[in-house]
Amino acid sequence: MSSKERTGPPPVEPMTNAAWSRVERGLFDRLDQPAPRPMPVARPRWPWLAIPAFAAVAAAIVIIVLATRGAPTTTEVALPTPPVPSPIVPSRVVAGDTPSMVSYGDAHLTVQAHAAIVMGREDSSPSVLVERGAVDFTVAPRERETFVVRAGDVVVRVVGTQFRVARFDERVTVTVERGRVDVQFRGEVHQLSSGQSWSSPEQTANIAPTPVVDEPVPPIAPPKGSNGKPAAGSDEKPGADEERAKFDLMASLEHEDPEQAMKGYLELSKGNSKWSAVALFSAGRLAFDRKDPKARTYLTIFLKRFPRDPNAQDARGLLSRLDGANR
Amino acid sequence: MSTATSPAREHDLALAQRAAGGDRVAQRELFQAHRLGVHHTLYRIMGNNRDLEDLIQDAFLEIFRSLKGYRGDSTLARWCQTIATRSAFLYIGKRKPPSVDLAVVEDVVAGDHDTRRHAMARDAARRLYAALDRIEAKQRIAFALAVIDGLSLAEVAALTESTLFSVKTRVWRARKQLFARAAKDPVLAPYLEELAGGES
Repeated sequence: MSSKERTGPPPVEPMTNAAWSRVERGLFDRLDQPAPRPMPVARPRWPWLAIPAFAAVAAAIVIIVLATRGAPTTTEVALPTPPVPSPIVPSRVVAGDTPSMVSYGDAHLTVQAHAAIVMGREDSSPSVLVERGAVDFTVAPRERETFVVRAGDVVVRVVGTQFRVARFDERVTVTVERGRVDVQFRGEVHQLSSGQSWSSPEQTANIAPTPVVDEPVPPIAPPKGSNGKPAAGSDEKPGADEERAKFDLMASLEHEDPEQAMKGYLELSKGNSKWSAVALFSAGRLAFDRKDPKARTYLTIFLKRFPRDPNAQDARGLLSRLDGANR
Repeated sequence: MSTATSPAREHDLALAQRAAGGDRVAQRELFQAHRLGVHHTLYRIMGNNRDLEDLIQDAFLEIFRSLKGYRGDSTLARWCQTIATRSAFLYIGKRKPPSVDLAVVEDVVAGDHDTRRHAMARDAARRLYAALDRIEAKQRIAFALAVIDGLSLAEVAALTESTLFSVKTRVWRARKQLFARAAKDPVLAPYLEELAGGES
C-alpha cells in the first residue's frame, strides 16, 4: 500500500442494539442468579441415620404445632403482612402492525406498533426497558415504589402520571401528558411536568449506531440495477452520519408514513455502506409486515448482496415464512 | 496519583459505591455509561465482535465484583477498561487456539477502487489478528492497545497493570514476531509496516 492509500487501524465495529440487549439481559440474569455454594455438599457417613433423624425432627415439629395452636401468647401482635414482591421474571413484548395493550401491576402500557419492551423489576420497583419504538404509560399514583422506565442511557422515574417514551435507535423522547416524571440522562436529572417534553441529544460520543455488522464483512459489489457510482459510504466516510440520520428518520416514519419510509429505505439501500444493508433489510421487513409481495424481492436481493450481515438470519426466516404462507 | 475531588470523580465514586452495594439501578447505570469504552478496549484486543458478548458480560461481572476496591484514583471509565483488559487476558489464556487460519481465506473483491482498497484493509486486519492469535497473550494485548489503538505506553502500562518497561518489551517482542510471520504475506507485511513502522 502506498502512502496515498494509508488505511490506518481497522475501525471498531459497533455491536448491534440486539447484541447489546442480549449482553445486558445475560449480564443481569447472571447477577440475579444465586451465588454458587462455596463448599460441595459432603456425603453423610452414616446415611441410615438420616431416616430416623428426619422422622424425629418431623415429629417434633408436629408436636410443637399442635401444642401452640389455639393458645396464642399475650405478646403476639398482629403485623401487616408485607407485600411479597413478584418474582423477577423479565418478559418481553413486541408489538406487530397494531399497538398492544399491556397491564403491568397497576400500570397500563400501550406498546405502539413495532415497538418492543422488556418488563422486569429493579430492586423492589417495577421497571420497563424500551428496546425500540414508542410506548404510552399510564401509571397509577404510587406511595412506596417508583416505576422505572429505561431507554438506552435514559432513565425515567415515575410516581404516578401519564406519559410517552419513544425510542428510535438511540434517540429518546419523553413526553408527559399529566403528572410529573424525573428523566435521568448521564448523571443529569430533568424534571418534566404536564405538557413538557424532553429529547436526548441526536448524536453523542457514547452511543453506538444500531445497524452494524458484528464482524468484518468483505465489501460487496454494487447491487444489480444500481447506477454503478462509487460506494455511497463506508465507516470512515463523512457521509456516514447523514446516512445514519436518514435511516433514523425513516425508522421513525414507519408507523406514520410507511410509504415514505419505504422510499427512503430503498434510496438508502443503493449505496454500499453498512446503512445500505440495514436499509435494504428494513425495506424487506417493512414490506413483509405490510404483506407487500415485494418483500420477497427485497429480502432475496438483501441476502444476495449481504449474505453475512447480522440480519441475514432474520431475512431467511422471513422468506421461509413467506414460502409457508404461499403453500 | 491524587484522590478524586472533581464532581465527575465524586459522581464516579458515588456510583461505584451504590453499584458495589448491589443496587441494580446503579449497576445498570454503570453498565450503560461504560459499556462502549469496555467494548472498544475488548474489540481492539480481540479484533472482532465474535466472542465479545460473553466477554463483555464476564468483564462487567468482574467489574461489579471488584467495585468495592475502587478508590477514585483513576476515572471509573479507565478503571473499567483495566478490568476489561484483565478479563481479556484470562479469556485468551483459556480459549483454544484457532483451528483454521482465517488469514488464508481470500475475500472475493469486486467494485471500484475505494471498495477494493477497503476490502484489502479489512483483509489485512483479519490477517493481523490471525497472527496475533498465535503470540503470547500479554504481548498481544500490549501490541493491540499501543500500536493498533494508539495508546501511549504509559496508558497501556496502566491498563495492563504493568510497568512501562514490561510494556515496551512486550510491544517490541510482539512486533518482532509479527514481522517474522508477515515476511511471506504480501497483504499483511505492508499493512503492518504502516501500522507499526519498519522492522527494527
